[in-house]
Amino acid sequence: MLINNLGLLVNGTVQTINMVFVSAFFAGMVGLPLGVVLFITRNPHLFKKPALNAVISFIVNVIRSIPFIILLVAITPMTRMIVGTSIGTTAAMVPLAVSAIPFFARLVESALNEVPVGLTEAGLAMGATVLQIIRKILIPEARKSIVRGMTLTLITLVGYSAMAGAIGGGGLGNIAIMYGYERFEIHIMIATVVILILMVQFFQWCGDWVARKM
Amino acid sequence: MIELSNINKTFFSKHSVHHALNNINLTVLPGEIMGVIGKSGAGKSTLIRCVNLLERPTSGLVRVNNIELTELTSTQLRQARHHIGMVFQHFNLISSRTAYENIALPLELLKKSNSEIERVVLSLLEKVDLLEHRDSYPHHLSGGQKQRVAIARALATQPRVLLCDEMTSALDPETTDDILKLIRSLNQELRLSILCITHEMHVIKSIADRVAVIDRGEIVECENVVDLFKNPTAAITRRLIQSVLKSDLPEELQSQFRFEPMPDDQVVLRLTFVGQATLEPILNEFIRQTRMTISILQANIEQLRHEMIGRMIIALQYDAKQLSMMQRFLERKGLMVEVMGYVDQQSWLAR
Repeated sequence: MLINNLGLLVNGTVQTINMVFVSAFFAGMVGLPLGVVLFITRNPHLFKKPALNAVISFIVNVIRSIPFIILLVAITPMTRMIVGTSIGTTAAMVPLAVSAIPFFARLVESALNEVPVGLTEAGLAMGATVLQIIRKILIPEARKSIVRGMTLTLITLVGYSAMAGAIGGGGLGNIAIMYGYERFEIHIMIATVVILILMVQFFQWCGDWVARKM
Repeated sequence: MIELSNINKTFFSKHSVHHALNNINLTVLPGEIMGVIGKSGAGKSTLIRCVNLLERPTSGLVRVNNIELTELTSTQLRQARHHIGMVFQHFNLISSRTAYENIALPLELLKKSNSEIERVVLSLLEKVDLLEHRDSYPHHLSGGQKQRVAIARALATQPRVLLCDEMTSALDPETTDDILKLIRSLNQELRLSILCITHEMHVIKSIADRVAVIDRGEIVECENVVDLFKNPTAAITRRLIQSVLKSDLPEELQSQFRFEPMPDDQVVLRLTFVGQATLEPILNEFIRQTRMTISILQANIEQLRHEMIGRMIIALQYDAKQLSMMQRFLERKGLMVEVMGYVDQQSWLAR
C-alpha cells in the first residue's frame, strides 16, 4: 500500500526540505546580524545602546512568545503581501522564517557571549574597529556554537513545517494530517513520522560533523 | 614614552562608590622598563588599562608617545592604539587562528599587503623563537609559547610602547624567567618603553629599571629598583621585598625581640650590601680590627637587573659605644645598617 503512495511521500519530503531550508536561509541572513546587534548593543566595550537593545530585545521576545500555530494565522495578510498567496509551501515559508529569525538571533547572541571578554579587549587594544572585532575575532571564535545554533534552528523548523502543513502549508505535515488523521490511513502517518525522524537525525549528524570539522 | 598625570578612577555602582585609583602620577621614560607592583585589588590592572583607555580615567591626563589620548576622537584613539602593544595574563590569543595568523591580525587590521605581513610575521616568529610552530593553533602550544605568540602579536605594528598586564602570572617559574629574558632583550633591541604590572617582586627584580609600589589605589613609593631594595620605606614595600630577598628570622626568634636594650643583651642587626660591597670582605675586616665576636644568623645575595644586593643578619654583644662605631664603619663602606631588636642572651641561648 505504501508503494502506491511513494510518489506522495517523496513529494511531501521535498516540500518539507524546501520549506525548512528556504526559511532557515532567511533565518541565517537576518538572524545572524540581528544576534550580533543584540550582542554589541549590550556590550560596554563595543556599541552599548541600552534603549536600542531594549527595543530589539522586546520585539524578539514578543515574536518568540507567540505560539507558532497562532503566528501562522496572525500574519496571513503579511504573507499574502510578500509572496502573493496564503496557502501552500511558499506561503508557509514566511511565518517559518519570521519565527526562526528571532530564535536563531538569540542563539547567535548567546554564542557570542561565550567568547572570552579578553579577546574583545585584545582587539580593542590592537586598535580594531567594532566591525573588525566582529568579523575577525567574535564570529570566527563563536563559529562552532553558531553552527550548532543553525542545526537547532533547522530541527525546530522541521517540527514547525509539519504544523504549517496542518493548515494547508504542504509537506509531510500536510500528508500526515490529510491521510493519517482524517482518512485513518495509519501506515502513511507512520511513514511520515519515520521520515521526519530520519530527517532530524540526519540534520543533527551533519551539524555535529560540520562543527567538529571547523 | 608614557605619562600619567593626576589619574583618578572611580567606579560607581548602585550601592557603592569605589575609588580604584587616587591621583596617580607616573612616567615611563623612552627605553625604560617601569614595573608597577601591588597586591591584588590594589588597582594595578585598572592603572594599566587606563594607559590605552580600555578603562577611561574619571579625571587626569594620559599621554603616550606625546599624544594626549584622553582628548582623541574614537577614530584617532584607534590609530594611537596601533602604536601601543599590550600583553595579557591569559594571552588572549584567537583560538581559531594559528600562531602565524594571530601575529598577522594587527597587520590585517591595518590592511597591509600579504607580502608585507609575511615578512613582518616571519621575522617576529624568529625573534620569539617559534618559527617551527608557525602553523600551530594556540591549544597545541604551551603557556610560555602562547605568551611568546602574544608578545610577537603586540610587537607586529612596531609600537614604541608595550604594556604588560601580569604577563607571567599564569606561567611556571622557569617559563616566567624565559619570558622575562625575552622582554629584557626586546627592550634593549627595540628601545621599547615597557610598563609592566605584576604582583611578583621576582618580575620587578629581574627586569625593571624603576618600580612604583601601588597600594589601595595610590602610589606609595616610586624608585629606582636598587634604591627600593636598599631602602624600602613603606611597610607594604618591605613585605613585597621579603618575598624575594628572604631576610627575616623565624617568628619564634623574632617574638623574643624587645625594642629597648637591657644590659648584657645581644643586638640583632640587618646589613644590606649593594653592588661591589657584596663581594668585599668588609665584615671580616671589621672583626679583625675590633676583635668583636659576631654570630651570623642569615645571609644571602640576589641579582637585580643592574646591581647585586646582599642581606645579612648578625647578632653581637650590645654595647652602645661599640654599636655606633660599628654603624659608622659599615656605613662608610656603603652598607645600610638597621637594628632589628635586642634580645636577652640567656633566653636566646637557652633555646
